[in-house]
Formats: sequence, structure tokens, C-alpha cells
Amino acid sequence: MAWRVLIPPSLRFRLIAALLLAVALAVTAETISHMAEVSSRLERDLAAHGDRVSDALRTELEQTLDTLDFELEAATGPVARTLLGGRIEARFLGTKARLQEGVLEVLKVLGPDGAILSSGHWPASFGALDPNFEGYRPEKGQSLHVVDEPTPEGSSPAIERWATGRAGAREVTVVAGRFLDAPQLERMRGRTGADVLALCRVDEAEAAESSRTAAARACVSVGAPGLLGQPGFDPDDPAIDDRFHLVAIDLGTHHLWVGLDRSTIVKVRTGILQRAVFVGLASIAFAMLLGTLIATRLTRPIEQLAQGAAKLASGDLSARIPVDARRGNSEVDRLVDAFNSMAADLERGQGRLLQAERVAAWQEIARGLAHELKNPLTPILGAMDVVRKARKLDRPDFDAILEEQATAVVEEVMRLKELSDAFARFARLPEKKVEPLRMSELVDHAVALYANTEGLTVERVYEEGLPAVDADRTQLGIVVTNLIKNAVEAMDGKGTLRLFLRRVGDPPSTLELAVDDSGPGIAAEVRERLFTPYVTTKGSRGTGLGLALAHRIVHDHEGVIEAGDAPGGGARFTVRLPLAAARGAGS
Amino acid sequence: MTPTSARALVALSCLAGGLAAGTAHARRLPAPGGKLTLALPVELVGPTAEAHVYAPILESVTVDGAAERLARPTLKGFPRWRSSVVTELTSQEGGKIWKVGVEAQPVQVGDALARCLRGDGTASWPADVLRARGVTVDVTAAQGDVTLRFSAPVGPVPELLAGCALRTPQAGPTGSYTLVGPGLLRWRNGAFGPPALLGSIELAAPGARADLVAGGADVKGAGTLLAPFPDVVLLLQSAEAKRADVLGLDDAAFGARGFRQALRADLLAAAYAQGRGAAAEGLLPPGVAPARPLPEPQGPERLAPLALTRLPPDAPRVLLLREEGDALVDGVVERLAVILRNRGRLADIERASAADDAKGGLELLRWRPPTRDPALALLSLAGRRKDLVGDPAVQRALSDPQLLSASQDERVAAALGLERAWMDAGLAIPLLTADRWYTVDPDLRGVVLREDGVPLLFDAYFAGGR
Repeated sequence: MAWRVLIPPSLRFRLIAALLLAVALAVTAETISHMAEVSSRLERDLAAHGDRVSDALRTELEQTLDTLDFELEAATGPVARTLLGGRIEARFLGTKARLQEGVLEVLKVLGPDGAILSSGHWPASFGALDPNFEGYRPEKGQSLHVVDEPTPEGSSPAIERWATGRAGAREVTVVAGRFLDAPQLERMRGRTGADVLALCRVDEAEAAESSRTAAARACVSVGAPGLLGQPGFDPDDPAIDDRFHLVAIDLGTHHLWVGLDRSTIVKVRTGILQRAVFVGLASIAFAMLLGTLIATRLTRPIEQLAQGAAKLASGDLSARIPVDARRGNSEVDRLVDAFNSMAADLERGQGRLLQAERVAAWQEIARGLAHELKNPLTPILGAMDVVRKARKLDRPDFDAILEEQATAVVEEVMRLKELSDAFARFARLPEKKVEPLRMSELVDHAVALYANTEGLTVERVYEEGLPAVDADRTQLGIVVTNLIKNAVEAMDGKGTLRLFLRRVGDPPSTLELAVDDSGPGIAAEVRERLFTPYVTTKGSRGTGLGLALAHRIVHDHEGVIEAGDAPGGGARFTVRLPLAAARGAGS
Repeated sequence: MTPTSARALVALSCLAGGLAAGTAHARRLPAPGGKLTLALPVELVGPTAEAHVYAPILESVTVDGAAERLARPTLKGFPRWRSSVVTELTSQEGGKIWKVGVEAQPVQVGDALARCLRGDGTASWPADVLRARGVTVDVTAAQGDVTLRFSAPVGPVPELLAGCALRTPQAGPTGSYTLVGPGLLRWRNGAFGPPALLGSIELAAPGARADLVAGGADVKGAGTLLAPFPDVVLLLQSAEAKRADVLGLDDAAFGARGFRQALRADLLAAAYAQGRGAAAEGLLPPGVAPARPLPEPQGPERLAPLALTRLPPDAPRVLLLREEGDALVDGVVERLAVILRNRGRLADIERASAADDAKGGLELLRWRPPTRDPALALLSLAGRRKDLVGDPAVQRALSDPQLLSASQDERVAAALGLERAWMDAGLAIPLLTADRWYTVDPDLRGVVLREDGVPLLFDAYFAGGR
């Protein structure tokens, strides 16, 4: 993760984070617990209030039913008499007057087939079949009954009562009612203290389940100002359910929903949450301060241990953890002691190892040197033996033999001399004379020696604008010459020699010289010992000191020399030298 | 008793009897002056005031008698018409040119005729007639006469001129009365024709206590004056409503007959308009339309009763336009809403404006034919409502030149063709006829109702001399 890159999760950080997490968890748990307790208490209060409001609404509806019953009783007789007189008109004598006074809002007379014989609230509907006729059964007359009463505008829920009477031989049903429309609901809401009242039709197919979710979408709703920000009211809407405590009153085909505003609970919850956030932030700040102090005290020796281990890993065996005067005998203190002891042991062991390596190196060199010395001595000894035998046999061609053997001896002696000179050069290089040096010039100069070699192709790729390196011209010339000579010899003088000069690093701080040949390459078992003195792949043609000498020169110049495979096959020797500016900066 | 004394007694008796008889006779004579109050619906206030402030160009003869002919002679060659403005009426070129002879002020008469026949600046049914037929008119006034040059032959010019009044913006009142206040007309001198008898006329709102009440309940002793022919309640369908068949007239099980049966026009009229009405069989009301046999009932006699179908709030809605203040139209519109509910639609009832068409829905129009001439009556409706003439068959019928023929028989035949085309198109459906009547004070005499139901009070007087 990104933060892991930007902020390494140190022990101190983790300790502080753990402490903060613990504090945050504690505050959160306490907040949730407190909020749940308060909410539960408020919900109980709200539910009790909802019950009181619904009781008041039931009482109000029952009072309306009483009024309807009274008016119905007064109406049925006159209506029947009117009908008996043959005047099927919108005249209900005194009852019609009650309709006009607003005591009744629905008044109609239905025939035995459900046809409207007369309607006071919608006179034009005479003769039409009333869709609610089937519901006007005697057994339903005693309960709260709300129907969708057809009106010229569509329909409106109405609470209705009905009675049957006789007009001659005909049985007629007289229905009286009041609309439960928005104005009426608003009056009821004002009287009962409900925040929201909604009268919703229950889908008949779902009414049998009589569940809260059975309410259909067609609702007439009224609410306190600002509470109902939407024209419709859907008790199934989670937003409504969240915002209001809902109580349903079953009115047959309709449910009267009482909504009590939860905003008080929400406000209390918000207040608790705000206080919790404040306390939490303060606790976290305090925990951060305290945690930083404790974690710093705890982690400082561990960090020092980590730093010491890092130094050890980088080769600095002198790394030690400073010991605090106030130290105790804690696990960390014992760990510091153990580390210091381990570092001291390591340092001693490293000294012994270096000494052993040094002895082993000299043994290797001595073994090689002895081998190299032994090689010319054998032919010299042979030649002298031949001469002595020729002299003893008094060979007539003794002079020729002598000349031949002497020449061989001289050659071997010269080889010994060369060996001696090379060893001397390896053992004691002259003092460096550092000067700004352009590597390309050295390379060009060395390559010029092979300009006319038949079968050899030289390719040079130099990066433009290469800066100079601070180096000894003579020593670095030896390196370049040796590498090129080795490459040419590896190809037996025929092939492609590729030379690359470029800057590497970001930013560029190193000059890299790569010498590629198209020869057979370097065997893996040889590669490891390639820069060891007297190791050669050229048999008697090499001294085994060329690459060792190059290695030493490059190392003296704070550089690196490596052997590997060339991209197109063959061997690649790479020399990397610090550029002048980079080395200056580094020094 | 001496013969002298007897003669004196007889003479005194005769004198007393004569005086008594003279007094009684005087009580029966028209009493000049007096105030008459008229309670009228809003739509009749303007036409009634206009009819009394501006003199008619031509009047139809309603009372045919020797004394009447002597007092107010008819136009030469036109025994059904008389005028206080026009002295002679002659046609030329088969009715393309009409010469209107006038006694005085030919320029003013020409101006009034031009405004009336072209409909310049005012609503005029003669202009509607000419517009419906695409006929234009050029009016020129000269010494002693006014020349009307029509773009096509026009036969019933006297009938058209009867719809015009001597009214110009420059001239003041030309009739027997002048408007002196809101709804108050006062007798004036210098009117064309014989002077009126009443001193002032007050035009009151419906429901006010009045001597002449439009409609009105039965009052013991009061007389009833019936308009020459009833109004027709028309249901106008917009092209959109007709395409959607919102009324179900295309429904074989319901159909136009079922629709009318559902409407129960007579019951509506009785129950809601408190007036007499009957099912209308044609666009033209009885009296205007020639007598014709009523169609025989067809199909099932008993239709399924209407049902107040329960509809969701987002059910399709139909716009129902109607004029305000007419109980009959209100009743029909409400019943229409029930019929639409039975067909699964809700109605939006709104007030109609005279300039509007049906706005994509339906409109209830209580139509008062302005003339007894059937062709002119239908043409006046066609000229007033452009939305009723879009149907190709109606346009073909309208293009029949016989509609303006000089022959009344030809006009009647053409009018029946136009009426049938209209009814077949389903754009105008006659629902019911409704009588227009006035309840008249028992002492009030001489009131005449114009063809469109406007009361004319030029000869009205109170028998009691109030």
C-alpha cells in the first residue's frame, strides 16, 4: 500500500496506532451503547405517544359514526316516504338540509340492485351502479368502514354508515357519510396532535395478509408544516419509516397511518454523536501524546538496535548500541547487551576471517607463482640436460644443438623475467597521477593497435558529451589495453569487437566501459576466479596477472570491474568508474 | 216624473254611464311611461339592451292583421318583412346585387350594414353566415339607397338584414331607448319607427324581483311566454376526442343511441334545469327544422346500467368545457362526467370561452339559432365555430350554393344535407332541446320574443297603468 511506502510502519507508529485504535474503539463502543439506551427509551416514549394518538383518533372516528347513525336514523324514514311518493329526486327533505349544512357530506339512496336512486352529493350519478354496494352489508354496519366514495373528481375516502328501509315493495339502502379528505384529516391531525396522518387504500388482494407492507400507494396525507416535503405518502418507503414512527389503524379497505416525527430522537442521537466525536477526538489527541512518549521510550533502543543491525549488515562491525546510564534490566536492555556482545564477537571473527583469507590468498598466489616458475624451469633443465648429453656424446652438431637449446633457455628466462616484471607491477603499482581523462581517447588509442588486423571488426558506440574521469592515464591505459587484448585473443583475432562508453545511474554518476567480444565466452567455473592472480584461460600464452592487475587498478580508482556474457554471445567485461563530479561529491 | 225630468235623468244617466264607461275604457288603454324590470341571464342582457338601443334594419311580421298592416306596412314585394329604416328592397343579377332603399341617412345605414355583414368590430351572425360560405360583400351608399354587392348570389338577404341593427360607432342610439346607467334603459325621442310605450326598462340579474323573468318558477296568476323555438344543447367533440372515441359512440354495444339513453335528456331537464326539454333528434330545433319522422328505435331496448367505475388518480382524463351559469348545461355536463366514468375516464370540467374550440376534449353548447331559416341558422354556427367544419363531408355540404338560394325550399333541402353531414361526422351531437320561456307579470302586455328568444318591449305596456 502507498502509505506503507510513504510511512514505513515502524514499531513506534504501530504502537501509537494501536493505542489510538484502542481509545477509538472504547469511545465508539461507549457511544453506541449510550445511544442505543437513549434511543430505546425515546422509542418507547414515542410508541406510547403513538398509542395515545391512535386512541384519540379512534374515539374521534367513533364519534363521527355516532353522528352518522343519528343522521341516518333521521333520514331513512323521510327518504323512504319520498321515494314512495314516486319523486326520485335529489331532495332529501330535512336530511338534504343537513347535507347542505355540512353535517353530512355523503348521502345517497341505493336500490336493491345497487343502482343509485338518488345522490345528494353527486346528483348526476343517479341510475349508475354504486361500486361500493356489495360492502353495504348489515354485518359490516357496526364497524369502522371507510370506502372510496366516487366523486365527480374521481374518488375520495369516506367514512360511511348505512341503513335499509322500505319504499313500498322496494328495499332501499340509505348511506350517509363524511369524507376523510385532506381538510378532514388536517382537522383530525390538529385535534389529536399527530405529526402526519395518511389514509391509504389497502389493495384488496393483499388486504387478507393485513400486514403493514400491504398498504397500497394511493394515500391522502397531511402533515405538520415542513414535515411532508413530498406530495405522496408511502408507508413502505424506508425514508418515511426512518423519519416517522408509524401506527396503523385498520379501517377495512383503508389504513389510517399515524406518523410521529422521529426528529427528536434524531436530534438526541446527533447530540450524542457530536459529544462522542468531541470526546473521542480529545481522547485520541491525549492518547497520541501519551502514546508518543511511551512508544518513544520503548522503541528508541529497538530502533538503535535496528540501526546497529543495519550497520552490521553493511559491514561495519564496529557498530555498538550506546548504553543508557539509567538502563535497567528489561528485555530490551538485555537485548542491547546481547547485540553489543554479538557485534564484538562478529568483529573479532571477521578479523580472523580476513587474516585467514589473506593467508589463503597468498597461498594461492604462491601456488600459482610456483607453478608459473616451474613451467619455464622444466624446459631450461631439459635444454641443459640435452647440452650436457650432447657434450658427453661429443656430437658433431653440438654447436647447433647448443645454439638451439641456448635459444630455448633464453626464451624461458625471458619468460621468467616477464613473469617477474608482471608480478612486480602487480605487487607494487606506481603512485597514481590523477588527471581529468577522457576514456574515449584511451579506448581509441588501444583499438588503433588492431586497426589493420585482418578478420577483426571493431564497433564503437560512445554516448555524446561524456565527461572526463579523474584517473591515472597510464594505469587506466593498462586496464583498457588488457581488456581489448583479452577480447581479441579470445576471438583468435577474428570476430567483432564492440566497445560501449556511456553514463549510467540516475542521475548519471558513473562512466561505464563495456568490452564485448564474439568469442566462446567465459565458463562459469572460471568466472568466479577470473580476477585472481595467475588464473588464465590462455594457457602458456597468458601470465594470469592481466585481469588481476586490471581489477586492482579499477579498485584503486574506486571503480568496479565485472565479467559476464555479451548480449549477442561471447564475453563482456564491464568497467564502471565514478565520474569526476560524483566522486568529488562522494569524497 | 215629467218628460223633461225624465229626459234630464236619462241624459244624466247617459253622462254618468258615459263617464263611467270612459273611465273604464281609459283604464284599459296603454299607459305611457312606467318602469319595467327584466330579470335575465347574463348572456341575454347585452342582446336585449342592444335590441332596444339600436333600431332594427328589418323586422319580421309576427302579427298579421289588417290594422297591423295599416299601422306598419310591409315592404313592397316582401310581405313577411317590414322596416322603419328601409323603404324598398330589390335584387339584381340573380341576387349578387341588392339595392336597399332608405328614407334618410344612407351613409349611416350603409356603414351599419357593412359592419353587420362583414362582422367588423362586433359579433354578428349574418357575418358568420357569409363567412361560412366564403361570400364577401361590398357596401356603397348613395343618395336614397345603399348597394350591397356580394361575391356570390345571396338569396335570403331580408333574413340576413333582420339580424342587423342601425348601429355605427359615430351615431348614437337609433332605437327607442338609450342606456343611461348600468342595466337601465330610458325612453328617448326621435327613434326610427313608432314610439315605445314604456318609460324605462331595468335589466336585472337572475333572481331579482321583476315583471318579466327569464325562466322562473310557477307563480300563481303569472303568464308564461315561450320563445318561438327551443334552444338545442349540443355536444361538440374535438377531432382528438372523436378519434379516441371517449364517448364510446363507435362501440356497437353502446353507440350513439345508448349514449343518449344514458343521458336521459328529459330526466335531466326535469331534475336539474327545472324546465321543459326533450331529446333532440337533429341539430335544428323544432320550428326551425322542417317536420320529419323520428327515427325508429333500434337495437336492445335495455342497456346495461352505468357503473361508477373506481378509477385510479392517474386514469385518463377528458376536458369538458361548458358555459357557466346555465343549470341545464351544468346538469348535462355532470351526467356526461358519469358516462365518462363508466367508460374509464375522469372529467375535468372547465369554463368555455366563446372564442375557444373544444381544446381537444368535449364542449357543451346551448345553442340559440338566431333565425328561423334553417340554412342560415346552420351557417351561422359554422361561421362561428371553425373547429366544426374540418370534416371533408361537412365541407362538401357547406360548399352547396343552395344554402344561400333565393328559394326557401332549396335552402331547407341544403340545410338538411348539411345537418346530416354534421351528425354523421360526429363533431356536433344534439343532446336535447330546452324551451326558453319567461314568466310574465299578469298586467304586462305586448311583449314579443325575437327568434333568438330576446324579449322586445317596443309595444309592451302595463294594463293596470302602473
